[in-house]
Order: sequence, then structure tokens, then C-alpha cells
Amino acid sequence: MTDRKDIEKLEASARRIRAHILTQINAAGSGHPGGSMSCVEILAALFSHRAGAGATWFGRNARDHVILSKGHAAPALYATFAEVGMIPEAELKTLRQLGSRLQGHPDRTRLPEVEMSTGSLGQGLSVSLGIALALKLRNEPFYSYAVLGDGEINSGQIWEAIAYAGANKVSRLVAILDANGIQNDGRIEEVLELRPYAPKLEAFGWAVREFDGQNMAEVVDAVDWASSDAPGDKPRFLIAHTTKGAGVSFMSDRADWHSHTISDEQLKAGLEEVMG
Amino acid sequence: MAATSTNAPEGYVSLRDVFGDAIMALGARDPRILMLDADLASSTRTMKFKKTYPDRHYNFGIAEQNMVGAAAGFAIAGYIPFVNTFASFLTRRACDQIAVSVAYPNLNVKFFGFHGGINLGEDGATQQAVEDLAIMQGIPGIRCYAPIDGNDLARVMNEVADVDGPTYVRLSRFPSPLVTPAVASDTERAAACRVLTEGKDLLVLTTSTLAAKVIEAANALKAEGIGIRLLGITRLKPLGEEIAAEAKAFAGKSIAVVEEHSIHGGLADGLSALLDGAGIAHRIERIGVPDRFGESGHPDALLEAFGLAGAPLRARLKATAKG
Repeated sequence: MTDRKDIEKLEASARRIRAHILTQINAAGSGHPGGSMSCVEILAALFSHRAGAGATWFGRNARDHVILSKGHAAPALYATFAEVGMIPEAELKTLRQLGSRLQGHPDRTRLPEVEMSTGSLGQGLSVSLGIALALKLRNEPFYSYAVLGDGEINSGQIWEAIAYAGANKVSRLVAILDANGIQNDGRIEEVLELRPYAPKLEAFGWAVREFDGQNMAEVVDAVDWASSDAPGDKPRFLIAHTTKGAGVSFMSDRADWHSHTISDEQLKAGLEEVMG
Repeated sequence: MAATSTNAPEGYVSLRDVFGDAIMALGARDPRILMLDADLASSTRTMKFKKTYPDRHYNFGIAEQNMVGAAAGFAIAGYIPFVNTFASFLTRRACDQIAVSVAYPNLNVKFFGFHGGINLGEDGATQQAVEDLAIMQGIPGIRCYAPIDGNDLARVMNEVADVDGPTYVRLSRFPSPLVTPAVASDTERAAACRVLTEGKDLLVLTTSTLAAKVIEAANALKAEGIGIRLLGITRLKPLGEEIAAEAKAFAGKSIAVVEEHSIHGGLADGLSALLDGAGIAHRIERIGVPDRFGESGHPDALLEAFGLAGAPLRARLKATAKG
């Protein structure tokens, strides 16, 4: 169990990351607030807690690897980078502007701190799989993490990767599902219902854990479990039950906030809520 | 030299056999090189590599999209993955993964499209690829090669292993004669463009193993008094700048492009773009696959039926030369 003080620090980080997300999308005039807000605890736990990311972390050869496969949550990724000191906070307001390193969806050629360019959904897990296989080949003690959306796993390629990793016991691979229950066109059950997830994944040979993805202590605990020998030789799948637009009442659990502008008034109200 | 396919005539080589030998040499030289297959390892000639380097061969099953994504991951981790499957399945099935997971992030992944064109023959249209080069050339940042014989492929293998960034190599299945000199060293790279026959009446460009058929046609037309300057184009993208000078020397005459590929998005389009960019007025006689899929048949019969070999090709070239 992680110390309560450390959890409180991460919770404070998460609040600042949420504030950064709101300010970025307000400045950009467009973006995906809902799915950015839901994965904040996951990213904070991965970068701050697990990887110990800081200004020089990404330049190391030996380290964990994190791919945000749900690339539309780019503002959450950039906000996390700024929070841990990987990019300057001042750069956040350039999101989506011409010439910015902060593209609408992450681009590793412009911003090298991005592990993988994503945005065409369904592709990141395979890339994380390749990295996990490489870690195994080199016998490195690190993990390869992919953050997925629950709409994203409609994609057949995700299930190709799930099948391969399970069959080949790729235990360095950790998939984290930001299960906020809403995709572009509406609720999961209105578009393509794939729940329950756990029995499907277990049938493919994965070790699965479900938890409250907005509860920092639970997220940290799950990430620690997935990054240990406890699940044995199986790949690890974390199902984080989250809320789209988490942290801001008027965005919370609403499909229309998947892709949305944030007005100055909404920004003010949102910042008050997240910074409390 | 590589072993020929079992039923190949003397002196004929199937590119995949050359590939199978080349990866053994490259794999011994560079431990970062990995082989990735999608349940076609026996066709792509990677079985020997797998036997020698079991840890460096991965079979993803019939899941090309996942294979391409995993290749991107290997490249991020510092390996050099060779992605091997039929040109049709690779470029059509995994097009978005090639574009977004490999080309956009500019990762060092080597794609090999086996059985490109229609010379796969009897298996028919679903396994043939008449649009692979159009797809791969259309994606930004991928260097594209279509070797014209086994020796040429050996040079291309040296080159792609040495280049940092995504590459695509189209291979043909049907054995073809060697028309270029043997590879001189394990560092010799492919010429972007090679003169295959000399002549002053008509400039012809061709690519891939179809080159042998075009050489046959050029030799026959020479006997009829028509001289063809035939250029074998190994590297389609970027296309060699020297080709513009070749075209300039034939100003005012049509240039024929003969390719075992759709007339859309292949060598003819590449040449047109090069000449437009250089400000050289031109007219291209596009001898390729019109807007249609391939079909079943013996490779030689198919190529002739599509007007890419034999008497139909000779007639077309003759008519172009006479303007």
C-alpha cells in the first residue's frame, strides 16, 4: 500500500492536471474534454507514481514505456507532462495551434516525449505489445503500458493484440482501460456493447483487475499490482471504471462533452470545481 | 547465389529465395534485425532465419494490423523489424497501421510485400496486388523499391537495412531471369535507375521483374529496326533525378512506361510528377494494368493477356515508337 501522504500528493497533481486540461482546451477552442478528464488519475499514477517521470526521465534508455492509445485525450497527456516537468507549462496554451509541438493528437516526431503517435484508434496496444516483446527479449525489468478507451476497443486490431499477448504470455504488457462508458456517438450500450470485459479477457489468458479509476489509491494499487510478479506470466489488464468529464459537474457522464469547446465562463466554473 | 525455385528454368530466380538468403546474412551482421510474419513464413522464406534465430522471429498469425503495430513497438525499442507478408494483405489490410503507426512517427520498419503484381498467377485477384505501390507511395515518407531481378534485390536488401526510416520492397513470386550483374559486395546499394537496353528511337521505363519481359520485347524490336533505350527503375520513391535528364534527351517523343501495376499511382504517375516538377513537357504511354483487378491464370499467360509481355507488348511499344 502506498502511503496516504503520497496519495494526497498525487491527488493534488491530478487537480492541477485537470485545471491544465480545461485551460488548454479553452485556449485551443476545440478538443476532447470528456475523455481527457476521465484518464487523469491513470496518467498521474503511471507517470508520477510508477515511472517517476521528470525532466530527464524520457531520455533514459532503460525505463517504462507509456502509450496513450486513446490519442484524443492528448490534453491530459500534455498536462501530465507539464505537471512532472517534462515540458514547460507555458507551452500548454499552444495546443492545436499552427506550428505547435502539441498537436491535436500526440505526434512523437514533433514532441519526442510522446512515446507513440496515436489518434487512429485501436493501434496503440499493438505498439505497446511490440515494446513489451522487446523488453522481454532484452530481459529488462520494465513494463509497457497502453491506455485504451472503451470505445476504442471496438476495433478488431485491439483483439488481435489481446489474442497474441495472451497466447504468448507477454507479461511485460499492461493495458489500462479508461472505461468511462461513453464513446463518440453515445453510451457504450447504444453503440457496441462489449461488457462484461473481464471474462472475455480472462478467456484470452490475461490477468484482470477492476477498480474505481477516479480513486487515486485504487488506481495506484492496481498499477503496482500490474507492475509486479503477482499476476505471474500473464499480460495484465486493468479495467478502470471512470466517469467521462470527471471533476466538473456539467461535463460529468455526458456524451456531448466527448468533443466540445470550453467557453471562458465554463473555464472559470470548471477551474473552481477542480481546484476546489 | 540464391537457390532457384524448384520448377524454375536454369538461370531463373525467385526473389523470395534471394530474400531468404539475404536475411541470413543481414541477421548475422546486425542482431537488431527481427523477422515478423503473419502465418505465411513458408512463403516468405523466413523459416531458416527462425531456425537459426528462434528468439528473433515472431509469427503473429493472420493478423497483419497487429503485426505492423508490434513492428512499430520493436522499432521504438531499437530493433529493426522486417515485416513480411503478401503485398496484397500488407498494403490493403494494414494500410492505416502502416501510415499512422509507422510512417507518421517515422519509425525504422522494413516492409516486404511478397507476390506483388499479377505474376502470382493461379491464386487470382485476392492474392495479387495491382495497387500496392500506389498505396505505399501515397503514404508520406516511405522509400519504395521494386527490384528487377534477384541480383537487384540483393542490393536493395543491403540498402534498406542501412537506411534509417520506413521502406517498402515489392517482391515477385514467379521466377525470373537475372538481367543485372551479381552483387559486388555486402554494402553495394541498388542503382536508382539502370540502362537495360540501348537505343535511340524510344525511351521506355519499367520496374520489378517484369523488366525481363520488356527486355525480350526490346530485343525483338531491335531486329525490326526499332531501338529502345530501356531503363530499369528499382527505386520508385524517391525517383532518381537523373531520369529527368533521360526524358529530356527524348524531348518531343512519347515515353513508354511498362509496369505490372495499376496505371494509377505507380511508376507512370511517379515519372509524370518528376517531369512536371522539372518543367519537362512530356507524354507518357501507360502500359500497365487498367482500372481492374487481376485474375487466375499461368503467370506468363496472364502477363500477355494484360498486354505486359509477348506480342501485345511488342505491338504497343512499336506503335508508341512510331508515334
